[in-house]
Formats: sequence, structure tokens, C-alpha cells
Amino acid sequence: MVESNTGVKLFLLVNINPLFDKDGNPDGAINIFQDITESKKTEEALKVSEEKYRRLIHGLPAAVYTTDKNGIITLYNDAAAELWGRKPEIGKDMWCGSWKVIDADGTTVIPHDKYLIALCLKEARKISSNEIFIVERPDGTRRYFQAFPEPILDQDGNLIGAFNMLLDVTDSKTVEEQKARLASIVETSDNAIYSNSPEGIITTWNKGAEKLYGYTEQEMIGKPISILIPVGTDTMINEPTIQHYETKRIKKDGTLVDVSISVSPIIDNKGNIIGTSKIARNISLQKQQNRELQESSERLRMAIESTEMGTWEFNLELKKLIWSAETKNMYGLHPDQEVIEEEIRMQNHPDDQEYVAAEVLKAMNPDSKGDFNIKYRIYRKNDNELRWLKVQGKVFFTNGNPDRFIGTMLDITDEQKKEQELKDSVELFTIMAENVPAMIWMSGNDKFTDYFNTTWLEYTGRTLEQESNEGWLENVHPDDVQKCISQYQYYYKKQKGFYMEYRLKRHDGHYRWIADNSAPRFSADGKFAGFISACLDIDDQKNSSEKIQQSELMLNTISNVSPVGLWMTDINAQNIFVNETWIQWTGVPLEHNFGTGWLQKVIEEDQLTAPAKFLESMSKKEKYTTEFRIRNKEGVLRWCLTEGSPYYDINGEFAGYAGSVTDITEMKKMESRKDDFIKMASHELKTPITSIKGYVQLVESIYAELDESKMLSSVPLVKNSLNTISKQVSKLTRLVSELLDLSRIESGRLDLYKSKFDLAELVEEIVQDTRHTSTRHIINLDKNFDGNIYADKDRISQVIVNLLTNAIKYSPNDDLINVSVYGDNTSAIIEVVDNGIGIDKDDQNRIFERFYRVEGKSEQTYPGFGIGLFIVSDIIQRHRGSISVESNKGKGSKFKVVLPISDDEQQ
Amino acid sequence: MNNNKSILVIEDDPDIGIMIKTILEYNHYSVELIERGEEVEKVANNTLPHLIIMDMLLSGVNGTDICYRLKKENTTSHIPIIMFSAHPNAEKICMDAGAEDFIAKPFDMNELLAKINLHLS
Repeated sequence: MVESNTGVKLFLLVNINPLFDKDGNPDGAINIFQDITESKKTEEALKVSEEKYRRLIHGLPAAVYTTDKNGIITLYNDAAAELWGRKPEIGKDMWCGSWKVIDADGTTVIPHDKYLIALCLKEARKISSNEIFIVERPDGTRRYFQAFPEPILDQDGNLIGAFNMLLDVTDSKTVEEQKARLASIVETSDNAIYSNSPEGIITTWNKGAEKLYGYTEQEMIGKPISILIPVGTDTMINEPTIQHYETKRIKKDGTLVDVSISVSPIIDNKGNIIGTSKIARNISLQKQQNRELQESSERLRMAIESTEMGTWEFNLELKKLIWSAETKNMYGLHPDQEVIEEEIRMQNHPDDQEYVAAEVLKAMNPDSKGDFNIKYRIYRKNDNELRWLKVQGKVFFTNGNPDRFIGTMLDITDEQKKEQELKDSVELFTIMAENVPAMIWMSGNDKFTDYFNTTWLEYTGRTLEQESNEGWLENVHPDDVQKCISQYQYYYKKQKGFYMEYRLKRHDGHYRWIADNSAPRFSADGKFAGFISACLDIDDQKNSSEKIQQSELMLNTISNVSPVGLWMTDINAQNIFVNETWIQWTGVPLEHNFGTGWLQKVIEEDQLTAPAKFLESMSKKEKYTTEFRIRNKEGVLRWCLTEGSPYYDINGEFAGYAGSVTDITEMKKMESRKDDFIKMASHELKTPITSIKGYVQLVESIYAELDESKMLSSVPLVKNSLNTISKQVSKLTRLVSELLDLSRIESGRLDLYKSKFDLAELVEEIVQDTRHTSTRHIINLDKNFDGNIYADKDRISQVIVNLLTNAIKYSPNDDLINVSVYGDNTSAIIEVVDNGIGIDKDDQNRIFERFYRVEGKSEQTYPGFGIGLFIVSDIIQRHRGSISVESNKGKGSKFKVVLPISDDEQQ
Repeated sequence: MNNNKSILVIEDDPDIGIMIKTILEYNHYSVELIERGEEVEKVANNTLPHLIIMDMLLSGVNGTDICYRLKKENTTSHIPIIMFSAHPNAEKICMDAGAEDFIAKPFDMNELLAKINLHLS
């Protein structure tokens, strides 16, 4: 290595070239220095690039997928599909799908429930394991991978799924294997391989070194390297580049040995030399031979031929090519073979023929300096292999005419290959980095980011210059900047990969969530060299998961405040959800409703029928409707009506039933009251009809009597019969009109025909009429009201009759009934007070309801429609009045009607 | 011809009870009408009527229970009982309670007279 006048260090390959006389005998030599700096750099760059490339693969977030809590795949990326060698169906396939996972030994197939993800889902915890598995793809190929499953928990800490990252470690496995292979090569190599620290202390020592120098590993580690070096020999310990030289070294036995040594510096990431490694070969024998050979020109020639470089001379005068054996060898010619210009020109690669010819002409141009330096391809004669050659030479002119043209030739195919590999590798890296959908950045060991791929730049809409160094932070959401910096610095110190999420401003000015997955990079010698990171826009995911959370919250709220119970089953008819309403009713906590748990509050008689009906509906995927009874948490029997329908998942697959439960206890009671009403109505209607029919038949039979005197004697009976018939018809009319009123009220057609009338007078009339019909009861009237009210007289009359009739009806033993009418200038009040059986507190508010009849043993005692008070209440309300009751069971009741004297309409 | 036949009628609805009493009397039966079920057994034991006509639903007590007890009592077990009701399933209940006959409400008096005649002959 030399330093050029511009201060650049250059690698030079030195060759001593013989010169030949016209007879082909050597008559001197020239030294040719070949600049191999570029090829050295290429070699280095290749190593670094390969490392980058490998790290990128590792650094990519790689295979990532998520599952729901049952292990059904919900999401996966291309890398995952690539790893698996298939594309599982989202929402259907389990994590395990149909592919096979084998243990790292490649022998045991792992059962699906032993997968790390299965364990993660089962135990709802992150599984940290560095265990390596093999996935066998459907096509039979295998990949090594590591799995890092993590549970996904909702805000309450319930398991809702899992996230798994599969790291494809096939490459690192291979590298490990290669390293191991390399290590064994080093260990078993015949070459002496050893290294030392910058201070010259030996740090490694292999078997080859022991063989060469006679010292064992134990003897040499920690010893200064100087014990090997003869006094006065150049040591070259701390040269920053790779050196090849030949020198002498002292063996353990004190003798000298000729060695060829290659010294490579060990450079840390700051460019400091932290040691050197050496490969030494015993060349004593070779040296000895060389020395002998040097004694003659023949020996010299042999020595030259033993080097790789060929020499040539083109005698322009004679048009004759003189090639060294090495040069001929490069062309695949026999050493004895004559070189004929036309023939060897044919070996040139067709694409290079013109170029070579042009360069030759250029060099021979007397105006030029005669320099000749080309690279071109030939097909080697003996094996027709394509080889790259580097040919350098010089044309000598005599009197302005080209005279001799001499030079060297080097087969650079291997270097070219390396260069090509580097180019390919760089290209591959670039193509990959530029084409992956992920945004990629890379930082060096100076902490600053120096690479952003096109995806990143397109995403942010910025230039590489803008993003470089810390520029990219300008586009990070202000709230996330600090987090980014501190995380980066933390992991930079630890030299460990990291994952972080932050908001990055997209080219359209919107901040979007980015998942940044960084992996550390290491240089060829294992030094930390910064990070490579792949980033993904996860904004949609994040938003959708937020939206899902929101909609879940909304659904929860709706479901919990719903007045009806809600439930869901899975496809196996097992309950998977009940809402808060149902839980409130039954007092059974959510988790105890799962499966068939919900049945525990269903009464025994219905415990079999309700599920049986459900299974029947489910088998046909039909709507499910049934009634069942439960005991609520107070132990009260409640009637429930449940209705459910099948629901389908996003893929249209049947996923279970969802439905509601309505408390229909009140409805049931109403229904049964309606039944009672119908029974009662028919009984009530039948009674007068039976009576009428009987009297009609009696009258008929009287008039059928042939004995005239007998018939005449029955005249009073006929009169009495007709009287009764008339009364019964009135009763029937009243019942029918009550029924009509009911239907009018129900359809909102109960109209009022208002007029001014004397209320006290009306009350008195009714009381007197009633006194006539019900002689058993004493009815007192207390009149304290003067003047008219504006109301429907017939309806108010109906109200008073009804109250009075009820008072009589429910006072079977006590005969005293007090009626009073009083008021002021705004309201008139009518009170009807009996001392009868009274009404239970629970019933008092409900007696004005339709069909409501006080239940109990006395039910049969007081037949009636159960609509009287309902109609009364409705009439009063239509008059903007009010009706109320005060009652004590067994002591009697007081009904109080308050009516406005005039209503707003009139004023 | 029915002069010496006495009939006990138990009917809590006076409209119906009086109607039956009137018609039966016109047909020359001697009729005792009572409204309250509780009195039936006492009256029946005292007067030992030739026939009893009784509503199945009575205020306070169940007609079928009375029927059952009358049929168990030696002194009254021989007295034919005709029950009537508007209840749709009443016939079976009444026959099970030991009644000789049943007539549905609203009944035809001619039909009732025919049944009475049948059980008294």
C-alpha cells in the first residue's frame, strides 16, 4: 500500500515483468504497479451490503398476523403469507390452518394446541420464547421461524385475540450454520490463523498456528506477538488495511521460518483498529525454490509464471505476439502453442471486439502517450468459459511510429464476479427497499438517519435531504416527538431493536399512526452499526379498532339500558352474552349465564321446553319465539317472551342466534283479565237473556191455555212477567251500552255532548231512583252545591249511577251509603262513601284500569264487567276532572269526583 | 198432577231465581227459592224436597261442593239434583260431583221442565 500524492491510500499489486528479446529470451524486467484499491473496496462494500441486506430481512416486521380469541385469523400480512406459503382465509382459518409446524430438529410435528399462539390465547399472556420452529409449507419447503405471540386485551383486560409476529430466521439459521462451519474451518485449517490486540497481545491462536510455530494455544494467548518476530523485522502491527507480505518468523525451537502473512485489521465502528488477524503460511520451501530459481533467467521466468499475472509483447514490426505461459493460460492456450493474432481475436466476446480494437488503435496513435488499459471478455479456448481480463500496456514509439507494444494481463473474472455480486446485492437491496410497501429508514452509527426509501418519501411527500438526519422528526406529531427521541436513544444505547408507534404527517397533511419496527444492524465484524427499520401505516387499523371500541361501547350502553333482556348464542346454542337488564332481572352475574347457565332462573316446567324449541328453530335457522317463566331475583314469577333470529358473521357464516326477552307478566295479567272479562260479559249478558226467555215462554204457555177462566186468572202473572221482561231488557241495554262505551273509549270516539245543568238536582234524582230499586240500603244525600256545571249530563249521570251501584254492590252487609255534593266557584265535588268490603291498598290505584277486578275469593261474589270504573274514570278525564279513592279493607270506600264547573272551551 | 212435588231452587241471581220459581209454580210445583249457598244443606235436610235445582256458581260457596255433600248425606243422597251453569266445561264437573242432570245457561224453560218431569217420574 502506498499513499498517493493526493493523500489517498492505494492498494498496489506489484509485479515484476520480464522483457524479452527478439528470440523470446528475457533481457530485463519492468516493474508494473497495479492499482487494486477499487477491487478491495468492492470486496468490503459487498460484505457490508450483504450484512445490510440480511438485516433488512430480519428487520422487516415480517410475518405478522392477528387472531380472535378463538384463534381464528383476523389479519395477516404478505410476509406471513410468504412464510406460510399459503393465504389462509380470514375469519375462518385457525392460526394453525392446514400447514404444519415441526420442531427445530425437524422431527416432531407439533400439535396445534401446543403452538405458542395457542398457549398465548389459553393463558392470555405474552409468550416470550426464543424457541425456533420449522413451518412446512404446502409445497413441502420449510422455513425456520420464531413466534412472539401477544394477547390482545380490551380495556377491561378481557382477552379478545392475539397478535403474533413470526420471525423468519431461516437465513440467520443458515448464517449460524455457516459461522459454525467457518469456525470449524478456522480450527482445522492448516494455515496458521491468529490475532492480536493493538498492543500486540495475542488473542486467538489456532491449531495451524501451533503446527507452524510450535506454540500451543495456552502458551500463546496473552503473550506478546513480538516473540515471533525476529529483531529488525518490520512488524506492521497496526496498519489499517489488509496486508500481504512475506517475512521470517521465529519458531518455538528458535529456528526461522519463511512465512507469507496476510494481515487484516479488526476495525470497530468508529474506525479504530482494535486488533489484527493474521493468516500465515509456511513458505520456506517455496522460498527456497525461489531463491534457486532466481539464479537463472529461466528460473526468473518460472518465477514470473508462478504469479498470476501474464505478460505479453506485440512486435508491431513483425506483427508477432509473444505471450508468457501465464497469458496463454488465461486464453486457454497450451504454453507451447503459437499465438496468432487473428485466432485469439476470435476468442473475444462479440460485444467487446470493437471496443478492444478501438482501444488498440487509440494506444498506437502517435499523438497519445501510448497508454493502454482495458477490461474485456474472452471465451477461454480450452473450456470455452467466459473470462474477464484486465490488460494494461504501453506502446513505445520510434520516430513517431509505434514500435513495441508490451504489457500485462490479469484474469479478473473472480473480481468482476464479486463486483457483479455487489452490484446485484446493492441493486437487490435497493429494489427491495424501494419496493416493499413498508416505509424503510436506516441509520448509521452516528445516530442519524441517512436513508429513507421511496415509499417513505412518497408517504411524507418530502425529499431525502429534508428527511435526513433529524429532519424526519419535523413531520412527527408534536406530542410524539419526545417519545420517538427518547425511545430511539434508549435503544441505541442498548443496541437493541424496538417497536414504537407515533403519528406522522402524511403528504396530504394528515397525521397518521405509524408502526415503526426497528432492528439493529451490525457490521461484518459484529459491531453495532445503527438501525434498519420498517414502518407501516396502521392508522386505519387503529381507527377501526377505536371505532369498534366506540361502537362496542355504544352497543353496550344500548344493550344495558334496554328495557328488554338481550342474549346471544354461538353456533352450538350455547349462551355467550346476556345484557345488564337480564342480569338485573335474574340477579345472575354475566358469566353464570354462559352456556346453559341462563336456564337456572327458568322455572322447572319450562326448563326443557324453551331450549327444545330453540334447538328446533335453530335447526331450520328460523325465527325463534317462545314464552317461559322465570323466578326473578326477588323470587317472583315473571312471564318472559323471547324472540331470536340467527345472525351471520362478516363472511355470511351462521354465527349463532341473537334475541330479546320481554317481561310480559303485565301483558299476561291483562290477557287473563280480558279472558275473565269475556267470561264475565257472557255471564252477565246471558242472565237477563235467560230471564227474558223464561218469562216469554211462561207468557206463551199461559196464552196456550185452553181453559179460558184459567188463562184469565193468570193475567196478573202475565203482567208481572212483562214487567220483569222490561226490566231485564233495560239491564241488557245498560250492559250493551257499557260495552259500546268501552269500544268507543278504546277507539277514542267517546264524544261528550255538553250543556249547562244543575248538578245537585241530577245527583238527587239518581239517589232517589236508586232508593227505589235497592230498598235494602239506606242512601243519605248531603247537598251543598248550588248552580250549574257545563258538562255532558248523560255521562255525568252514568258516573254517579255507576259509583252508587258499586257502593251498593260492595256493601252486602252494611246498608248505609253517604252521597254528598259540594264545591266552590271553580269545582264541583261528588263523594260516594260506603261502609262495605273496601279495597286493598295495592288495588286502589288499579281499579280504574280496564278489566281490572279486585281478585280474591270474593271474585265470584261480585260479578260485573270490570269496566265500570274504567269508563267512569275516562268520562271524568274527558271533563278535565279527577277521580280518586280512599279505602280501608273491610271498612268501606270513599270515591271522590272533582269536576270543573266550566271548562276552557266554554270560556 | 205435580201438586205434591216440592222443588228446592238455589240461585243467587234473584232475577233468574224468581223467574224459575214463577214458572215452576205456574206448573204446579211447590217451590222454595234460596239465594245463599250456605243454607242449602240445612234447608234440604229439613224439607227433604223431591228435587233440587242449583246453579254451579254460587255466592261464597261452590255449587259442586254442596252437590257432593248432599249426595254423601244419607238423608239427601236420594234427591235428584239438576245443575246449571254458563261455564263451558261445567257439565262434566257437575256430573262428577254427583248431579243427576245438567242444563246449560241460558236455558230453555221447556227443556228444564222436561228434565224435572223426567227425574220426578
